[in-house]
Amino acid sequence: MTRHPLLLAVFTTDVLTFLLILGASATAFRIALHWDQQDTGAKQLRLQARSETAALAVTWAFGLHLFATIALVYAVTNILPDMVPGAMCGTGVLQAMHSSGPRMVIYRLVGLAILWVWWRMEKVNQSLPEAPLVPINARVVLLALPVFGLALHASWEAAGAMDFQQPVDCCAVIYDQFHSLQEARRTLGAGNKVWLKAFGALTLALVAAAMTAWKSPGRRWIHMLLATLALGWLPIAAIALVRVLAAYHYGVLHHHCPWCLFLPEHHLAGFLIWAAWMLVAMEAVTALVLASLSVRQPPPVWRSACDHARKAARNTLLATLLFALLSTGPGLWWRLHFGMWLTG
Amino acid sequence: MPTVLACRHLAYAYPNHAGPSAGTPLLQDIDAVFPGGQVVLVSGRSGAGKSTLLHLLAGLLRPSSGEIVADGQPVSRWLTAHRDRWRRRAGIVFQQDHLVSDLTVLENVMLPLIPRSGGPRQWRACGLAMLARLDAGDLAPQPVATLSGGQRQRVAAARALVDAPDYVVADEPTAHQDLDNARRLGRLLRQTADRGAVVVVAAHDRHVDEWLDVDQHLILDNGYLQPVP
Repeated sequence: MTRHPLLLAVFTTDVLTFLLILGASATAFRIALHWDQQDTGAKQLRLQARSETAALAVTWAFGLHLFATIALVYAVTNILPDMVPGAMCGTGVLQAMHSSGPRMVIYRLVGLAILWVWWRMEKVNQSLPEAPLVPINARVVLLALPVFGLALHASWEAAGAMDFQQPVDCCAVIYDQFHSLQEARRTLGAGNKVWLKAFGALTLALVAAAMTAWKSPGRRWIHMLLATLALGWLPIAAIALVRVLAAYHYGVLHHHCPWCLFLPEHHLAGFLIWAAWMLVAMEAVTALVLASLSVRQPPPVWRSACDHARKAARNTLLATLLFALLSTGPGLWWRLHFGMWLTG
Repeated sequence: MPTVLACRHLAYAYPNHAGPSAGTPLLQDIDAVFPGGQVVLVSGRSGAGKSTLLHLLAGLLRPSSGEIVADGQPVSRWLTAHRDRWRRRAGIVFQQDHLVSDLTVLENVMLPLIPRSGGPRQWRACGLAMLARLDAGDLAPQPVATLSGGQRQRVAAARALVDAPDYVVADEPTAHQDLDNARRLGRLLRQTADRGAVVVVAAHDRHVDEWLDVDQHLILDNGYLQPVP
């Protein structure tokens, strides 16, 4: 196990985040059982005061988790490859962590998405004096607790599983998946051109839906469409990026690695590209949650939720455009500069 | 809608209070209405909970149970940020004046005006006018550290009233004043109520009727608030 300062900082932050969520969950549990907005009894008033403290704790947990996730990605992509023999990017580092590495990444991202949605709902809640969304937000905190527990456990396991003596073969993971050039040009049975066209079509549809949801607040169906399109867009965008478009960042064909994008030689582009990808996922879900929430709530909540759903749709639009620009930009530059595509 | 402040089943006990009175609420089941346009006097023996009641009315404390309702809104149950924003409409004269010692008298009085529109020139004019009404105009450039107890109290009153608040709570505002200055402040509180504001004054001064024109007199005894006939 390494004692690199950044990894120790990440792990300490993870423990602190979990403790904050755990503390907030105790209040959230009481809220789930006893909350009565109209009650002015001592128990309810104490719970109201505690709910504000819990919300503050979760906000801190969210900020800390965001920081720790970015720091961990930086460590995995830019620090640990120098320490793991044979690793050239995050792929080799995750290989050294065995199965705990990918689990750690998945739990972290799921935790981040849950707290993101909570944070956006809390903004609606905080915009209204009587905080009507406290019981709903408490349930989201209770949902986050096991995910953060698993994330902490997976991080601990991943750190412990890392073997700095055993060499890994970074490129074997990338290249050994193909037995022929033909295979390298296909993913899940479909040619790369099909994925690229699907990415283009879905991006246009997502932009149109996000624009409509941004400009026409209060229509739940458009937010539902936006979330559905986003959920469809996410894997296709990831496949199109890794299988086709990343080649123009790397300047070489068939290097299907999502982690190399985070390297300095590729201008750390992965941080922005994957952040935009995550933002599309989180904001589209937020837009749907807020639009659904607004249906069953009284007018002040409805208005605030609609307003925030609108902002979420706008952010989805901007994140989609950023992802499209950063992922296709180098390809377009290549075509203009050299007069041909990499594939000829 | 006329301005009105009300307590509904209000109770308050000090959190984690230890001692012989542990567990006994300082205030119990208080139901009272403080209408705009009236000066309400709350009296009671020392330690009866007058200051606590005023702090609750001004949103500085959270009730243990019950609620404070301002213009139909349960402000005591609001989120802290919203309650803080609502409190900008309240002028508070504290028993201890709580002036900012590093600022001059005029700067202290200008403080509540800063979140409002207008600029330093306008704030300065308003501050000077309010100090003049309390016969404290000549103190304007002085650092507050050099003031006497009575002067500090007048500056604190000027700071509470300068922003034409909708709710005024004044805790023993004339404790260190001579009768002339007390009458001057009494007149100002009356004028504040006459323009529709809620004015609640706590005092245990027996001669309060010499300087304050009271519409409603309530007495706080053993945690209960009752009208004085």
